Amino acid sequence: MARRYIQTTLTTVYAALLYGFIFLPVGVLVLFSFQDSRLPIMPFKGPTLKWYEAVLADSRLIESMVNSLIVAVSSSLLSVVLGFLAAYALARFYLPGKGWQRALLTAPLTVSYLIIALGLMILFNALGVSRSLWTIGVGHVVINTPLCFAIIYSQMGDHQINIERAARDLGATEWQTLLLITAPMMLPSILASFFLAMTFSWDEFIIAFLLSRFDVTLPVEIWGLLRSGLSPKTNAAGSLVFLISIGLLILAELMVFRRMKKT
Amino acid sequence: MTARVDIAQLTHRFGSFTALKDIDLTIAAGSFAVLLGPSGCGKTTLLSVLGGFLRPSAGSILLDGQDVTQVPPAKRGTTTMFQDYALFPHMNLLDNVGFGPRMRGHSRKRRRQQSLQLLELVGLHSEAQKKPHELSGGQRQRVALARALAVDPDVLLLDEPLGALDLKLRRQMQDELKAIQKRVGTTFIHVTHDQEEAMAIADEIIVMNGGVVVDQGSPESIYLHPASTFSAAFMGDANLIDGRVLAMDSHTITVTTEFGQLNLNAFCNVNQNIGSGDRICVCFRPEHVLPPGTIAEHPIDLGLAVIRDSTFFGSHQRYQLLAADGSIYIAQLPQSASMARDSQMPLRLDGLSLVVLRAE
Repeated sequence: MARRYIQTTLTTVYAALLYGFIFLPVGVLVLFSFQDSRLPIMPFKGPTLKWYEAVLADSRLIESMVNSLIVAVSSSLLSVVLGFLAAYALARFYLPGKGWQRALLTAPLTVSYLIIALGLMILFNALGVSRSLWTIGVGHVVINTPLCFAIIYSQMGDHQINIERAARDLGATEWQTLLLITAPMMLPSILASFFLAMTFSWDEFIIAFLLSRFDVTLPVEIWGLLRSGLSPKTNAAGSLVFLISIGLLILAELMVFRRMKKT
Repeated sequence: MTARVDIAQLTHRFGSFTALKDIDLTIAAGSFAVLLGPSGCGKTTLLSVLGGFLRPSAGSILLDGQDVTQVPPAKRGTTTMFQDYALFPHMNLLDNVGFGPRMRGHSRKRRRQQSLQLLELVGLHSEAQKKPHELSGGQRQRVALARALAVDPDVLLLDEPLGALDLKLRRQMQDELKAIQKRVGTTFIHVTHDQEEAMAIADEIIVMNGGVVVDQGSPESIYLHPASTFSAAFMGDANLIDGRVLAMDSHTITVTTEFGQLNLNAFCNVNQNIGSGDRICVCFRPEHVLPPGTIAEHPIDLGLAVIRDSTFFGSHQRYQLLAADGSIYIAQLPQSASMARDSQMPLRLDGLSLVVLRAE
């Protein structure tokens, strides 16, 4: 009995430590965004919402938030379309060097964002393309397409081949089959990869930092705030980023989960 | 609509493996044909070639005299009903059935009307708004049938459509399939490895083995006059006695077997091109063993046999007999037959039901 009691205690402590380690920094960040003083350090005074008021009144922060949203939505859309088409091609057609092509498509997942950003920066310089939201978007498509491809490809099973074949047999063209049968059938994984790509793009910093100039995304703007020293306002902005990420994940969970239950 | 199917010198190879060898076949318009054979015999390959999913290595396929060998699936008069039904999971039954008409540009109203009619034909019109995953296996099968018929094909190709159903449902669906085929008049070509299913539904059975057609005919003629030892053994139970022809005239065929010389009546079914000296098999069905004491016009006497085992089947009894040649034969005797294990009975056959087949 005593031994079991010790075991339970130990596993509980272990779990508490693990989750504490993961979530304490975020908890502290959020807590001190309600700090009623000029510095987000101990001891905690407050609570107050004035820093959130300051964030929402800061037109540059709001502008960067809108920028982030534009980049996240459009780059994720493009990533999903590219990833889906690549997955369809590799899952359904005989292609030369199929294994190699699949490896090439997923390889960027293993390359650090810093390297990808540097490479793109050099490329854009050489091409004379000036840095803007567009270049950030391109960077995010580069990192998210492999992800979307991997998720959608993993869900493309052989059992769907006969379904597509039946559609063609009944008179559907290649495009009709793709749009009316394959894409709706793959909707759960398409939505899952879209929302995941969106959260990745939403709080991505290195690529956005190196490939932006005047128009910046929210993480880059927050980085700018940090350089002028610690302030609970930065905490409030960070908390908002976190809140929206969580919101996206919940949305993905609800939509994808509900879809999966239905089909 | 309906069409005659002609297959001429069709050959298909997968790499070095020849799946179909020189197949020549005609299937009459409006008939229910069944491709029957063990797995790997080429029946499914033949169906894929007919459906246009495989281009044959050689030979041609004609629908009502028109060569469709190079025509893609959607453009030829065939529609395939897949083994796993391949229903569209995200569409309700109405949209599933209406998909073919939709691809043909029919108006929404017309599609709806057409789909409801077909769902009614298969008894599912009250479930029109349901999705495939809400249905049972048998219901899905019906939806697949309705969807395939919605494009009004000349020829419907069915790839083991009843394979996934339990026995009782399978028997019920067989009757329904047959009834629907007779109603719509479309040529049905159905693939199965189940000889009972083939007998239950087919107007015409095509027995395949090793990529060739080994027999073709009505269920009755294949059962009673099989063309080869393979089709005899595949369609029901067959007892085979090896032998050699000694002499033949218009009245009698004399063969020598382990049972000694047998004088067979020439009225029994003899393969064409069998002559003196040929190695043959004498084939008899379990029900062609005469119950002891029966009087027959042309009995063939094979001496005494020992009863090794008996099983009561309700309507009949089945005996395993160890005959004088040392082989085991199966006999089907009336319900009332009551012979003990290890006792002896005379093994006598109805001479007019025998089939003499070329040995393989």
